[in-house]
Amino acid sequence: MPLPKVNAPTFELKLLSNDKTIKYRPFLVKEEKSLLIALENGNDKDVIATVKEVLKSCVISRGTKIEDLPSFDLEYLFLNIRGKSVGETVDLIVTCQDDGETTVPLTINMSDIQLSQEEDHTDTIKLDDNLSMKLKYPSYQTFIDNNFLMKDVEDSDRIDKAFDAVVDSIDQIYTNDEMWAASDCTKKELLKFIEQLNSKQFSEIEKFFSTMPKLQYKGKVVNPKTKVESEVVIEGLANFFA
Amino acid sequence: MMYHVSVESMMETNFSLMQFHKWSLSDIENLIPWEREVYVKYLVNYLEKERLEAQQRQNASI
Repeated sequence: MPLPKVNAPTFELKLLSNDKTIKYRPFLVKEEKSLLIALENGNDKDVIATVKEVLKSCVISRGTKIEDLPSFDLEYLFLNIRGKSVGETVDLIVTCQDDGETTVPLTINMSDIQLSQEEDHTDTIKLDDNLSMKLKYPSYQTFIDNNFLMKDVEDSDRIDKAFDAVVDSIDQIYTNDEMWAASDCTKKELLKFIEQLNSKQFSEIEKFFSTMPKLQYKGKVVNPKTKVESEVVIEGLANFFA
Repeated sequence: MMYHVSVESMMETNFSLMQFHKWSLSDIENLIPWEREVYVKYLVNYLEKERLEAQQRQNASI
């Protein structure tokens, strides 16, 4: 049987979450077509599912499970794949911060978009002198559920969803002597544990999510009307392609 | 929008490449998007050159 034909160049990328280097190829016109169709349909669920399918096809390294990668790694990966497939720049229209209404075109080089991580970010939450909790990053599925499929969720359900997201992100709970892996606990047990936390402890968990690595571009634009220079900060994959 | 192209314009270009230049859809769809853009650009340049040459020949014959 003949060996498969390699018909696209391959590139390497180091993932931030685990320092693992993965190999990928650019997407092809047929995959671009699928993405365009999903985007033009305007259904977030379709967009995310299609992006995931394309990522699965483009990642060549064995043993890389797209569903298990944290959302920021996936965003960074997709950004790089898109760069090698379509072009290394992205054209945006941004609003000048000084008057909040004048819009200017901005061309961003993909290499200027970085995964930013706040210095005080930690995945270990100290609940008290003896008890700590280790959190894991939300996976792509959690990211989809929490960020894209919440549009029609009632406020009361939103709180439940937030608790669910925290429960899904618990990796282990431990004291100086004992350790409980979240995988060995039921969701009900974990939820009960979370409900015992006070607001200060809960805000520490919130901080984990808010300081999580994210795609970020920082640049400057000059307002053509006022000639005032202002800073532009763009975060998150969706905003680069808004 | 993630791209500078729409499904409609993409399909229109693919149709032109198939109908007038005899490319196959599978060949087009297996290109990298920027590669396709480059070929289309070369093709446009080539057709423009042909058009100018034809115009010059026509002008010379008058």
